[in-house]
Amino acid sequence: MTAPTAAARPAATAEVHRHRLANGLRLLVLPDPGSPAVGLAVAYGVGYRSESRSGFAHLFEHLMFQGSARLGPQEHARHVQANGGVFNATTHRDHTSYFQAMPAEALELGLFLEADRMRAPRITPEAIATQASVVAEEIRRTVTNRPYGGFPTFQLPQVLFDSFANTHDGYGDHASLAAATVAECADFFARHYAPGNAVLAVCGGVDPRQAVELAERHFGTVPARTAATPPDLAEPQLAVPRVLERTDRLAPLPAVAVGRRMPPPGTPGHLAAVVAAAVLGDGESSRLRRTLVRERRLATQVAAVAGLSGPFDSRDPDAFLVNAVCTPDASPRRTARAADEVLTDLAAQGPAEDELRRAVRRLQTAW
Amino acid sequence: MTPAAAPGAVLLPPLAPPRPVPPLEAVDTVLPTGLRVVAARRATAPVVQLRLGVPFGGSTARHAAAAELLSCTLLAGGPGADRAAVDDALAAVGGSLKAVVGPEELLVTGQVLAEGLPRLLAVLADCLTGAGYEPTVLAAERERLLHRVRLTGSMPARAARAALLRHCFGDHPATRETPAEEQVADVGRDEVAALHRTALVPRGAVLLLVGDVRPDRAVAETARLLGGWSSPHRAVRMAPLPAPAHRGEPVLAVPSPGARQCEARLAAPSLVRTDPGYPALLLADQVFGGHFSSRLVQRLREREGRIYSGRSAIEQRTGSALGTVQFASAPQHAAAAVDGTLDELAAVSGDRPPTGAEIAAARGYALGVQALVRSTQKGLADSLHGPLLAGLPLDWPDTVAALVRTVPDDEVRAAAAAHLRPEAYAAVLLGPPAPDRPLP
Repeated sequence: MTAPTAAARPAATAEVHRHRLANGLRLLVLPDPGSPAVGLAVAYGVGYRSESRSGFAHLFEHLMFQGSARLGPQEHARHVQANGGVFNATTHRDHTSYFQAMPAEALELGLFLEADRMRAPRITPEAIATQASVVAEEIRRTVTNRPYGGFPTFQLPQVLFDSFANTHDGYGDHASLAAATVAECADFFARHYAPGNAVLAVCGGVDPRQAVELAERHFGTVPARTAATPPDLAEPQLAVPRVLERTDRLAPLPAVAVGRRMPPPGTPGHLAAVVAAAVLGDGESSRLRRTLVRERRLATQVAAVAGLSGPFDSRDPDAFLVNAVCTPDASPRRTARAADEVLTDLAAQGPAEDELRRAVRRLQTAW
Repeated sequence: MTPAAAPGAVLLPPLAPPRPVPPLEAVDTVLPTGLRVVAARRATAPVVQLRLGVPFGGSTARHAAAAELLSCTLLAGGPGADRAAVDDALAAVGGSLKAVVGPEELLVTGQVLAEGLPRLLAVLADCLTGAGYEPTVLAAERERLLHRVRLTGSMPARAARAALLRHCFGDHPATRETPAEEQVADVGRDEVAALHRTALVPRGAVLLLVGDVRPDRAVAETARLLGGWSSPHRAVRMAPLPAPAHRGEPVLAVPSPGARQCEARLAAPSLVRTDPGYPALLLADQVFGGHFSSRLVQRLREREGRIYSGRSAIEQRTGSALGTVQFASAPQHAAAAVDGTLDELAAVSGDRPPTGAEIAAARGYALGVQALVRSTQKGLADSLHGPLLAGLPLDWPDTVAALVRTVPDDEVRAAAAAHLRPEAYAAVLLGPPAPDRPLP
């Protein structure tokens, strides 16, 4: 096998075009002229750390599909799919994203549909009751009826942080969600779904000038209004380590996760933490895999992640995670101590040059 | 929350003219070793996707265990190499390889920065021609595999699938998607190495490269680097599936103490993708349950709030096909959700056949999604892999798309009536035993 070549060919970097509408909506266009498809996403600066009722931001995301200013319930999904597109939405810690991938010729339809619900969703008590029930099924499916469901992103924040905003999970519980009212939804929409609190991103087979023109046509008439200021999330660092134990009836082996605060986005340490996670946990030869899984047999699997919901997902404060499933004869504390030793060693010595290069190369093909 | 004009009268913006899709630049050839090699250019990123599929049928439970041990040890490398060295060599060119195996196929999936393709192929060739199955490596992988087998057993979705396959096909090899613990513990190193020699062979296998490649050059590189992987044997396909047993019988309750949700699985005979009736049935199935706007999802999720996700699909298996339905629902809703499913099957195959509007929407969805998937490197690789391994020509997806575009509505209705009748389905419902059912 030959030695690594000096540097990877830089990926062709497409130019990002930016535009701001008079109502405050920010537009990003990333053209890929040869593509027969377009992707469009509207992200609002509101997530589950913005909510005062557990799970409300996520329930509201479901309700954004229940009809809008000029469309009835389910029409959004029907129009996207009948025109050959796919759609979904996801509620994150600090933002909620609605997105479509469609044939390029359907771009204007997608913009019309998104603008219509930015103007006014149509939310009824019946829709709230049905979607609260759907969310309850979603929680059973992804958390309560699955081994290691929600682990560790549901549990770690409970000991890493103290405020409600930082500690609660994004799902909430059915009884609380079913009690949500139409008035509460109207208030949430008014506070958080203003055009000035949103970013519209378009990529794929689209001409940037045309994207600006179509965005102005469909979103330009959505009235500007003041959005709520983002929540204050800052918390002091932990004075002493904290430990939490939970029982999972479905888990065949114990799992352990260790979280620590990580450098905020935009600071030099943030990207370094993303690369450190790759050095530690990405690939068979990564430090944690080599040490914990193969040499010391303390874990059957191990991962390192820069961010409770992955890298580039949320504001400060966020956490750097190491997560391992322990072998039957390793205690979780012993496995956690061994992981800490690996981190301490990396912190003291730094990565070797070729180790760093491998991690960066892998990240290049990961996105 | 905003009383607005009644919906339905909205003038939607028009569609732009469709963009012409350039023909796929590709080479499709068979090496002297019997390996079919396909390289297709899709230069959207400086990356190449690799798929190597080898038919991997077997008749015994021991085969399933040996195949799993083989797949998780294969990429530990040739003699003298170790897994970390193999992984380092790949990572240096942004590459990765992984192998999985099922009752029908052993599949190696890889990706690499375009300049590193020769190294990816060289590493793969080393593993295919010289995997050592060193006893210490095998012992460690066996231990990890046993943990994975136990974890799989505790996953309700996987347990439900296993229950459905047992219910429909008894002891057929297709039911062995997860090996048995005692077999994994028992299979020896020599058995794994022998399986590699006789079954992991190029004749009958397909290697697919999709990405930033010149197809002729990529095929030449493959011939050079993988030419030494040869065998007198031919890869073995799984025995075809019979029609599911227990069709039209009441749903089989499978107790799963402590479960918080019921998992429903249904299966019926369906049509293979080369059947002339397939395009029509594909659209009928889409109308019934194949996408979010389908009757099944609209009823169970959007009107009744009884499921989060659920869908029907036509699963292509070796020489046969299965029409499946799956969803999960709270224990107190599950029986009603199964009844609702059977009602919708009865309606779509009986007195409420697919409407013109439903068929048009299903057609638009099927064609659009296929075009979307094929616009990305990974999507194109994954969508070509199955038909190629089944021995179909490279342009098979285009052939099906043309048929889906033109199949008459009446044929779609006839397909629904013939294949989506509730009595064609066998069903299992995995969940808490009745007295154990938790409160909502």
